[in-house]
Amino acid sequence: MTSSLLLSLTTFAFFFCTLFYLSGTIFRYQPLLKAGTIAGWTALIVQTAGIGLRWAESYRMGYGHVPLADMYESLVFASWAIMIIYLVFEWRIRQRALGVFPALFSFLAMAYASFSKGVDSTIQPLVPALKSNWLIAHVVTCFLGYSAFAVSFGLSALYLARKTYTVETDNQSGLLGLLPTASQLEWFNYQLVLFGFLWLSVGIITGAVWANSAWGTYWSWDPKETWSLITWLIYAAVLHARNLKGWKGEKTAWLSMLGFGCVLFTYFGVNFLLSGLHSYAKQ
Amino acid sequence: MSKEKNPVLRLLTSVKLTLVLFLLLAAASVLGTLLPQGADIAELKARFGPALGSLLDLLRLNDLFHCTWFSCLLLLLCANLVACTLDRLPKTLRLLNKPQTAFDSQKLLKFALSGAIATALPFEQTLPAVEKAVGETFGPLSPLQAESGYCGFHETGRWSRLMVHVAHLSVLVILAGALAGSFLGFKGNMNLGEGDASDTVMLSSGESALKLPFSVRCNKFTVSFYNTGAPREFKSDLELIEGGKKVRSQSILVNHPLSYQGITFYQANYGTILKQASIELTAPSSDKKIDLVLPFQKPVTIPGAGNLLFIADYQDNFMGFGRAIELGYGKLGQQKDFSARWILVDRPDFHGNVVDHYKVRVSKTEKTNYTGMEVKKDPGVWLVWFGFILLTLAIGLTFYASHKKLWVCIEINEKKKKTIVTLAGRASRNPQFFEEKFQELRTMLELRLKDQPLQEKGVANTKNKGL
Ligand code: HEM
Repeated sequence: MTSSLLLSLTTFAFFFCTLFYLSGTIFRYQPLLKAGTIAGWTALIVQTAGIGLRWAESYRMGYGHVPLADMYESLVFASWAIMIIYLVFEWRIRQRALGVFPALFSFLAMAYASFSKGVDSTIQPLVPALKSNWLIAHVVTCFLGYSAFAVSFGLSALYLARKTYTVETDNQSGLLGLLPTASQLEWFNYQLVLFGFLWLSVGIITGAVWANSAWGTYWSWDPKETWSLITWLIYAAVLHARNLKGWKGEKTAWLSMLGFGCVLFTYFGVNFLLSGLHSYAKQ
Repeated sequence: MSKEKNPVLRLLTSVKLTLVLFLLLAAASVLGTLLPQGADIAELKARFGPALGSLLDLLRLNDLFHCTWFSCLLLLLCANLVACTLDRLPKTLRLLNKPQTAFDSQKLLKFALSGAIATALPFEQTLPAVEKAVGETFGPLSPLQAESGYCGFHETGRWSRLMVHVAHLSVLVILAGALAGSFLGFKGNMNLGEGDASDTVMLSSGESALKLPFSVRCNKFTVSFYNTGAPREFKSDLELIEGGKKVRSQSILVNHPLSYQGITFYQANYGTILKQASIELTAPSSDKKIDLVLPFQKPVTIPGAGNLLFIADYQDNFMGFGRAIELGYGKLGQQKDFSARWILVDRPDFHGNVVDHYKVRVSKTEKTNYTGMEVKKDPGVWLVWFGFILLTLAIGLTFYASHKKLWVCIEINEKKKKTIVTLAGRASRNPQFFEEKFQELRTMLELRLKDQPLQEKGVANTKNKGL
């Protein structure tokens, strides 16, 4: 048993998970949604084992580090975090029909990590700058934030769809019949944005503390830092926009989708298009 | 201050301005990452054409994060925050200190989350049953002064209303810390060859140098690599010397700096520099040769001549001719009149290898590692850390804590010979969980209050106007 086998299995499990949630939502058939939940938890367990094994393998190779240090490892962790945040959320609100987007994002992250030529999946040793306990705190917190925003993106999209295609009085029929009401979706989205905002803030803070101990500056306007600040500002705007009558609802949903666009750019765009301290891709 | 009359105050206290500022700052930062920061006007003109290049330079878009208008946006955000806090904090404080007043059942039934139960039990039996049920689900009930019957109240998390203000305060604290650091601190770098000591920091801003109250010696610098060729560790063994005495001896690594008297040394980079060169001087008249060993940048007297010689600079590949040293020479005590010449080490026959009137041949160059360190003093950093902690706590508690209130009214309806229990509740967060708990309490009460001979089904009413 190797970590790469387990992580390949995870990719397939996320694929089926997405299929179940999608078909369950489209056909309004609860057992399919339940299958989605089961597939999601199964994928998570296999993936957790895979990540653990990769950690152990890095020690066997003599490098010994948490598997959070390069593009591949961070993508795997992102897919893990999206799924666990979604499943805990699902369990708390007792609604199953919201899993399509999170499952799809988890699947895409794994698929991209496994099949893209630009992502190297071999275990690499840590360069001196990454040798810090802040690495774990920084990556985990940032990705919890990003993942909450991924789930929030799905909720915003569903909210807008709900607003566009159904009338509130006619809740239980139509394609979106199993979805919660628009006002519930709005509230869920707000909760996830606030949760993501909390973790993104802690992520930026741990990054700043780390940069201060590695380079002596807690903020240097490096592109990655700046883009995480841009993302932070957009979500701060989402939180405050709820206080304005004209913005609450659709405008806020669009703004949180824009926020997720910034998350994606912070992660992929900065790595591939802009250069700076954080470019995994260049190392 | 009368906000209604003063349009400036109205603007400053509006969340609309906050939103606009957030989006403007975000947009400006996007520009800052797309345009080359630190490029000078010539570079800008070469890349973007003369007109656009000049415009970018005029708007300082090549140094966006430090330019005036960007700082003004930040300042405006701070003003917005302060105004908002001054505007709202008194209201919040009043709310926090306000004693709870009683509500009658009619008012309670107007709450989004409310309900009434009628029971045949007498008032004296109903009250303890209600107190017990509320105690089991929410917590102890405190009685309120009511005109008739009983009115009780349970509340938790009132303080969570303050968290928004703490979040806002923390942003101000962080910015104040950053400001303090930039005015009261410094940032620079210091390169030290193995065995060298220095007390001079080259400041990042401009060309100036700064003298430290102590000096730093690098005893040893080591760098190791993985078998993949990637660097594994850089390490400098440092010694601090103050007033001729060794006061500290410590190694620094990336991520493990050394701090002394508020000044911190970070391992930043490394490289090699010339340590010393052995040279051979031949006087033109006699064939006599003079052998000298010149340490890098330290003047040495030429024996018998009284003139000084020193290596001012060294290059591994000087204009494509290989190794070269820049030799300075001059008279003792006339440092200003020193002149210098590049001597090609790898081209010993080059006719220009002449200094003063000596022919120069370099027989050996010895190099040594140097360590490059960031040197920083930042007295504001503690404020920044404190602000970070406040911000995390405040947002965490905003997310987690909720201000929950529950009211209970018990009245006697003389005409119908019934006791009416009215419940209402409100939560600032997680309304779904609060509602579930509320319904749990209601079901529990309905069960317990009808578990008597003279029973009648309770009238329940839950309005649920959206969560
Ligand atoms: C970088 C600056 C700021 C940060 C980090 C920040 C952060 C926050 C946070 C975390 C919340 C709580 C979110 C929620 O309850 O939904 C909040 C709420 C709020 N903020 Fe800010 N804020 C900032 C600037 C401002 C400014 C300049 C204003 C001035 C108008 C403002 C006005 C408010 C108001 C009115 C609320 C809502 C309070 C409530 O719902 O009871 N914020 N802010």
